[in-house]
Parts: sequence; C-alpha cells; structure tokens
Amino acid sequence: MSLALAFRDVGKRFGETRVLEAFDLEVPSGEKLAIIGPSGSGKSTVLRIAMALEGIDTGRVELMGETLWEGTRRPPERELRRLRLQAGMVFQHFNLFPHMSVLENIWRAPVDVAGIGREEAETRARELLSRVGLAERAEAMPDQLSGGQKQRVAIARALAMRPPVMLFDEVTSALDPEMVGEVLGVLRDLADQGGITMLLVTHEMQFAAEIADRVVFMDGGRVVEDGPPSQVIGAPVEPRTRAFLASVLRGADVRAD
Amino acid sequence: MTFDWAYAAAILPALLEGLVITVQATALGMVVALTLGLAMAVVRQGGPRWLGWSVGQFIEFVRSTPLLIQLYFLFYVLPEIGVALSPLATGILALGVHYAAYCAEVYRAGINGVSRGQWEAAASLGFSPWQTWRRVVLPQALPPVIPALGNYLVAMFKDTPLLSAITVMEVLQVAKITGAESFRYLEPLTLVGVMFLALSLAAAQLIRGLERRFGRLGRAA
Repeated sequence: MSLALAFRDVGKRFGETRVLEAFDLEVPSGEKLAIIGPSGSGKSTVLRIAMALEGIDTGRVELMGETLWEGTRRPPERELRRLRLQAGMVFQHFNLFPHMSVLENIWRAPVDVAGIGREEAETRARELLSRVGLAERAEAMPDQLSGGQKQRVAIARALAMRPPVMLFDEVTSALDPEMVGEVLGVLRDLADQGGITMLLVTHEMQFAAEIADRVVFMDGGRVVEDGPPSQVIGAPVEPRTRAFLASVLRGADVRAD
Repeated sequence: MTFDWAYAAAILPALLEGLVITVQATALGMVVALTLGLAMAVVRQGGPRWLGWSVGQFIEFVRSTPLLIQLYFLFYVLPEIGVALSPLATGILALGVHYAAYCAEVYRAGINGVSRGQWEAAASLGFSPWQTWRRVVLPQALPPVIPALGNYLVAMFKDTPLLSAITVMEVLQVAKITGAESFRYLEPLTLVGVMFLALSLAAAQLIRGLERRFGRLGRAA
C-alpha cells in the first residue's frame, strides 16, 4: 500500500523547546488518522510540517511519495508550492479571506493557482458549498457567517484544490458547542465518501473513535500509543494515554454539568 | 496698510498658475511616495534580509534629515553625477522619496495588521508570494491605512513651498516675485495662505470620506 505521508525520525525544535523528537509516523493513502494528545504534545506541528508551513531540524518527511523535508534543507519556493498542492489544511481559526465573498474564497485558488477557468471554478465552488450545506450563502461575506458556517466554508475552500491529503487542525476547538455538530457532520460525510487521506488533530474523542481508522496518541513530541480507536481510545494500554483520556473525560463531565 | 482688492484681483491669475504647479508637484510627488513607499514596505517584509535591512536604514536616514536639505542635495548633486532634471522634476523626486519613507511605515503598520493565519491559509492553498501579496495581504492591509496616507498627502501639499528654494515656480515663488516687483506682500501672501487653507480643507474632507468608505474593511474573519 502506498503512503500518503511519512515522518521518519523527525526532530523539531522551537528555540530551546523540543517539539518533536525521533518522531515516526506512516499514513497509508486513504487512511483516516486521528491524532490526540495534550496541548503542547506536538500534534499541530505534525500537520503544519506536512502542510510545509514549518520545516524540520532532523530526519525526513515524505508527502505522496516525494521528499518534502530532509533535515534543515528547504526546498526552493517553486518546489515547495508544487508539493503543497498535495495537501490541504483547515485551521482552528478558519482563516477565511475576509475581503472575499464566500464563493470567491473557494474559487480564487483554483483559478489563480491551478489555472482553472473562472466559470468552471465557480461551478465547482457552488457544488462544494452545497456539499457543506451552505449553497444559499455563496454571496455572503465571511463576517456575516457563524463560526460553524465559516469552518464549513474553510473546508470547502481546501477541498476545492482537490488535494489527496487533508489536514484538520483542531477544527472545532474555536467553535461554540452548538456549532461543533455541523462541522463534524461535514467531516463525517467526507470520511464516508472515502478516497481522501485525512489527518485530524482533535479533542473530540467520541468523534475520533467513530470515524478514524487509526488513532495516534502523542505526548512530549513522540508517538506514545498507536492503534485502532477501540484500543487507543476504548482500552488504552499505555499509562500516559489512560491518564490523558481520564482527564479529558473528566473535563467532558464537568462541561456537561 | 489696507488690503488692495483690485491689486489682489490683478495678481490672481499669475498665482493660480503657480498653484497649478504646486498641485502638480503634490500629485506627482504623491504618486512617487505611494508606489515607492509600498515597494519599500513589501521588500522590508518579504524581500531578502540584506535588502530589507538596507531599506530600513534608508527610511531611517530620510526621516532623520530635513526635506530642505534633501532638496538642495538632489538639486546641486544630481547634475554633478550627470543626472540633469528640471527643478520641478527634482522637487517632485525629493518630495516623493521623502514621503515614501513615511508612507512605508504606514504601509508596514497595515501589513502587520494582517494575521499570520491569512499568510498560512494562502500558502496552504498554493498561492505564490506575489499572489499572496496581491490577493490576500494587500487588499486587507491597504484600506485601513488610506486615511493615514491621506494625511501625508496634505502634509506634502503644505511642504511644496519648499520647492521655491530650488527655483520652482510654484505658488509661493510666484507670490514672492510678485511682491518684490510691487513692494506689496500683503495681498500675494494672503492669497497664497487662503489657497492652501481651501485646498487643505477640501483634502481633509476627502480623507474623511475615504475613512468612512474604507474604515470598516480589513478585519480578520
């Protein structure tokens, strides 16, 4: 089976802080992988490196069979841009372009970057908007949308470039609780449809258990536990995983009160 | 000494001709300041480190020396190195470069106001650096700084009389010559003052309009 993404013995530091250490991860094409772990465990950094927003210090990262990072070597700008087309990212804080309509947010990159005709790109943008349930908001500006709607637009925007790998960085963490469901619904549809490799950094354990093929628990910049959701979330073996899940579930209980 | 209205009316056409030069110098100087300032701000943010540093030093230098000295410098030194510009062109260049340094700082504030998430979203979609500037960053960075840039336009307009020091026949120079010929300074200088007042007020009005129009844009979503 071909690999969509591979981290090989990757080390990454921010100043004095070690974010990733001897980090290894292989993600087969088409897999839905959830990455869980305490904040500061390096899970978002994994996605940012895969998206080529951050480099690495040691080791090697391959994206869709091509070397993206090797040690501190930075690929030339043009090469970096070509490799970035293999992945799309959805951010915690949406990062929609506030000066563009919802529709333009989605068609702009296909037109400017992929060179697709404006008309075709708009048609595709409208299709994507219907898929995320926002067909009637095409002409709205981002600041007229709720958080959940913004995030659904952001998903559509990333999908418009048709990347084989999609990276979701805590996409429900900035949302009001009542809006989490609509975004998870879109992710679920995407997962059910298949074909796309999905990496989700998430705090939604229930959701991760439902849609992920595999769950990785990270702590201190390393993979601590790696297995099917039934193991990592359902019956964790590692003490650190257990401690983390216990604290998360306690948090959930508190919130429910 | 009483204000001679007939004399004022007689010299008005000559002064208006001077005013045309003043407005021309301001308009062209502003075009230079806005474009050169933007280029400097972009290079400082996104260019190679050594170039950004050099631009920063240049801005610091320009802002720390008087416009009048810069004017004299260009007027007397450029011809010596073989660049022959008319006095007016020299004046426009000096005004433009001087105010470009101030505009670059204004642009920089606008650029810094665009969140890192916007750059990252653009990168994740595969935008080139140029496309990121053009489609994502500048459309958000520019509208909020238009009023501040407008204020520099007014400031530059009020600095154009300095061009009389290098023989440009702008409105103050015309007034001085007129006064010297008739030994009457009250009327020409008063008229020049009124002209500056009128145009400055009009420009301020325009800036307020721009503020209303663009003040709202440029917030992050």
